[in-house]
Amino acid sequence: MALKIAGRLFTGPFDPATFVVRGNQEAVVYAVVAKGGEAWDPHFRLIAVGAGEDGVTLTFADLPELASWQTLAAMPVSIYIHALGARAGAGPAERAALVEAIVAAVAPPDGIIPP
Amino acid sequence: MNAAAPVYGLRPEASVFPMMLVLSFVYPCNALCPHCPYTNSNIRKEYRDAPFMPPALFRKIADESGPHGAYLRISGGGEPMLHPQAVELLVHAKAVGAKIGLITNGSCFDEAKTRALLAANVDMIEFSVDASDPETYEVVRKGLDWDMLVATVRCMLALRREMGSTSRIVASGVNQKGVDVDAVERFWMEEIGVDYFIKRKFLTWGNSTELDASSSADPTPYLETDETPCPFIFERLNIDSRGNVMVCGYDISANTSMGNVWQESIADIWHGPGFRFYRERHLANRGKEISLCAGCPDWKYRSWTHNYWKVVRGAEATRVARSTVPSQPGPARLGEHDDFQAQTVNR
Repeated sequence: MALKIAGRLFTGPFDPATFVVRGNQEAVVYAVVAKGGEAWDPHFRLIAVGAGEDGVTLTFADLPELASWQTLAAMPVSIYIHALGARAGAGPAERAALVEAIVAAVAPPDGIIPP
Repeated sequence: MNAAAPVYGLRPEASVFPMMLVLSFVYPCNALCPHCPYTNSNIRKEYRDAPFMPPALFRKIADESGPHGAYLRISGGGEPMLHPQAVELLVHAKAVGAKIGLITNGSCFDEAKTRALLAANVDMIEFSVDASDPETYEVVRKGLDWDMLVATVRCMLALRREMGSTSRIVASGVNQKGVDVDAVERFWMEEIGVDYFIKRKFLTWGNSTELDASSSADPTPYLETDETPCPFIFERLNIDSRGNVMVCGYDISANTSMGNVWQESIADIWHGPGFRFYRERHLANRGKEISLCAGCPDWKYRSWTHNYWKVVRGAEATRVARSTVPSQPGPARLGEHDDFQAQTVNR
């Protein structure tokens, strides 16, 4: 499934309990998303957004924010990712800019992402 | 609603079972067409677990659809003829009474496959051509071979004549900038002699892709979404290679789930709470309260009258006429067939 957040396509959903972006993979901007509503009429809420680092493995289960995301969402959350690393000619500044743009456009933790 | 206003609702032919089931039969493709929603999204990657519709799933769909004579539209995220069992499965569907509308780029046929499909009288074989010359084709059908396409279509038309098959053979083109779609139509109707030419709107699939609507050569809508329900939820549904039923072809990312064909009957899903929800909202002119529909840029390009059923009728009329007149193709058909591009908003 794909979600477009602030004009960028994100891939997911991935379970934060098991999902890992390895250090040898493209660095990502990630969105923490809560999916509610009926299966036929889903509603997606952006709980948080963040970015990984080049060459550093990102293990979501180890992130201290995970528990607070789930508390904010009041339901299990999923991870969606948008690759934005060296292969795309991007670095930390581009990822930070995208995170900022998403926060401005969608306003987590209550922002709605249209399907 | 005044007396002259059209009445919308479940189409009579879809009162029990959908008239059309659009199947994501295959996700891999051998082309990189710039207007393709799958080339311009991450969906193919997401279906790496199910690149081809499993034969058991296809047979279940066909076996349920057959008694209703429903159309199986074989399309989806890639080239259908790349499915290792494509011919066998399509022939099975015909044998159990389903109708088949195959959409193909024409790159994977040989004479044996062509003969098998024609012998089964596959109802509609649509070649996505998009061009009338090799230079344009190289751009809009990147990765494919123009000469092979032309030879394949000519061969299919000749074999149909030889075999007396009733399969309709049509071509389609996306009306996008950089393509003279009228010239494409003339070439395929007059020079090649297909039964119909479908001019497709350039669609973006909104939040599922990175396609840019500015590539459209004709953004004229077919209907006003403020006053006209979307016709698709009253006639068809979409099924992916995992068996998930999506509400419509806009949701190619499968964010919706109306049910799963592995677990439920298609008729139950068709009359289930999900489709009821969409139909009730749309009939009450509240379709835009549904988040998926509110953001759908393609709703306005659907039509209650200017649609696939019109193509079927037009193609059949040409096929029958040509089967009785040996001299074909000919330019006379051009004036008779209906342009798939509405010139005015359908009110």
